Amino acid sequence: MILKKERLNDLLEALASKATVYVPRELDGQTRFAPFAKGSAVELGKAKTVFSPKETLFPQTETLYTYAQLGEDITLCETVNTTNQVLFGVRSCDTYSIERLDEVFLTRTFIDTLYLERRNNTLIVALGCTEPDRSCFCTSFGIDPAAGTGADIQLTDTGDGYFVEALTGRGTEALQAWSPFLTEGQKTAARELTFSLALDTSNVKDSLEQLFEHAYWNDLSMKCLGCGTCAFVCPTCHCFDMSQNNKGNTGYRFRTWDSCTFSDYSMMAGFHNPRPTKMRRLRNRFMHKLSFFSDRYGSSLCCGCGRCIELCPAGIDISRVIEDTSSLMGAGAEQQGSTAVKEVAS
Amino acid sequence: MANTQETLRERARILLEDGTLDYLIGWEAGRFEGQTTPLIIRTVADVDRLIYNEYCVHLLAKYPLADKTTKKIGVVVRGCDARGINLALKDGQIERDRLYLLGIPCQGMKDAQTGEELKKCRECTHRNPVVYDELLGDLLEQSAVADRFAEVNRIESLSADERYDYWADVFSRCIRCKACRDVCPTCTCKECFTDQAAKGWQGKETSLAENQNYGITRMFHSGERCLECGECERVCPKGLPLMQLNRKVIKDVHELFGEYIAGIDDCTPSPLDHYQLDDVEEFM
Repeated sequence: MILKKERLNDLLEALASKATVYVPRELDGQTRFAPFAKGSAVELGKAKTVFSPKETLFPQTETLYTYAQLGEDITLCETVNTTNQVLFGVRSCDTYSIERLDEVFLTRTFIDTLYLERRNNTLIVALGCTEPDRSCFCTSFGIDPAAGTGADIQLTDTGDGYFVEALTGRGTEALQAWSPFLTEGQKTAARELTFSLALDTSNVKDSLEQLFEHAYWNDLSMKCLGCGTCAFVCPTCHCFDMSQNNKGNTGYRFRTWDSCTFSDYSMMAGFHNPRPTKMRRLRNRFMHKLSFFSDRYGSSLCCGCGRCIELCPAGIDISRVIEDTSSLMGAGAEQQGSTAVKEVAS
Repeated sequence: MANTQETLRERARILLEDGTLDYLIGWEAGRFEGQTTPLIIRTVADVDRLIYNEYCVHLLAKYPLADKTTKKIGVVVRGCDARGINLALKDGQIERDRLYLLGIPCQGMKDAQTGEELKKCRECTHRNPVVYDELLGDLLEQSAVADRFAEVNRIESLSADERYDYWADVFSRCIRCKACRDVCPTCTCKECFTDQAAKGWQGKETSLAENQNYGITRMFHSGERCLECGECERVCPKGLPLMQLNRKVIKDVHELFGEYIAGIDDCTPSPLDHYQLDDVEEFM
């Protein structure tokens, strides 16, 4: 079936009457996923949004529960997420990322109920990429930019419309409501995409493991500011911190995004910090993305969306880290095996 | 600029070779056209990685401060970098004899994507380095800059409610990545108030109140020491107009205590780090 582009807004309007529909929009000069508003432009033509749709499933700040004490009685009220939402126009890099978030929050012993509720209430509509950005390199991780794995519905741009196909049972069910807006039509052959950035990532895990003690990390981390921009724009970064806002006898406990590049990220009670230097923190970031996550879940935690490359204030570029470590290995650098330059505390 | 780059490489080669420097901080090319990134050069073999062009957007002044060893550090300094170095010297963050400053008069840097001169450079009042050990190139005539307080004046003319709404909108967008703090040459506290979780100065929640607390406290803390390098605005991933706040403080300080240019040298006391008997004290 085909959704003609001229019917797109009618469809979104219909969907928005039943759920919060997140679409790529340009707000304050930057694209991000924001609720569809009648009459506002939907930016489906551009490549990735500046900010990922991560916050629709894992908000930057999320209340876990509220509490109140009255005399001897304490009441607790857990947050329950019941809002239905549709993520519309999600690129393959971001559907891949949502699959990784699913693994973190929904598998291996602990099920995160807040995430689970949001995830269960979310329909994901993927859109195949037609024009990658300069910093896009999802294909380097084996991601197909035309096929959003883990999505419920896949859209493919056919020129004047989108070919619509359900990928899951939930997608098939959801498409019933779409039928007034669809016409018969065939899928056109996927457009050949040119990625200016293509990397060999096959050995990156091994390289990083062997270069763990290499001086490379010292000079790389020298320029790192230690801010959280990379983590906050990353569609797969999922670390959070828990805290509370207490007012007298009432308050709430919440979680907020955290970043392993922050100096207080690994600070423990008694002020012991197992990663006391910027070098160790930045190295950990790349190790987690490209090695540790794979140990646990078998896949890369970098999806090649390139958002951190575009926004890092110091120009630190994960694609160059992949290349640099590969060429250091080629040069036999793992044999040198020591942080030749003394670490500086910062 | 190609000439400046050549001279810079040549000098770097000599200074590293003769042992004047342990390392030099400059820039190298990034992956994309016009993209650059700060670079440490430790050996002569790496000298050709050094670049100098109209896209060297990163302020270098803060980088040497992390090194608490006795190493001799070369830094490429333009007006903004040099003022940052003066500020660090004045604050006792590093010793002058550990630095070797290669001064470059700056024509202004460009945004690689738009080709336009960066806002921070359009507003720059000191293109020539104000401190250096050697100068690469000729000092420039300081071009006139647009009234850098125009935005502050516009906001001051709004009503209190309008001003509140304006800043509430700005801070509602802050994601608290702290890039503005981390890049800021005035931010050199060993432990930032925002990281003192146990003391609770700054809540971790991203909410309007907490975001305002972050941004406004930072503004007052940097205060009149702000160099107007504009790095906070350049790095903000949300594009927030942070310099408007800093300039409000600077404008007020100028009006109350006379003009003060932070980082112009490493010794002039700043209006807020001492007092005089005839200081304005309208609040007493």
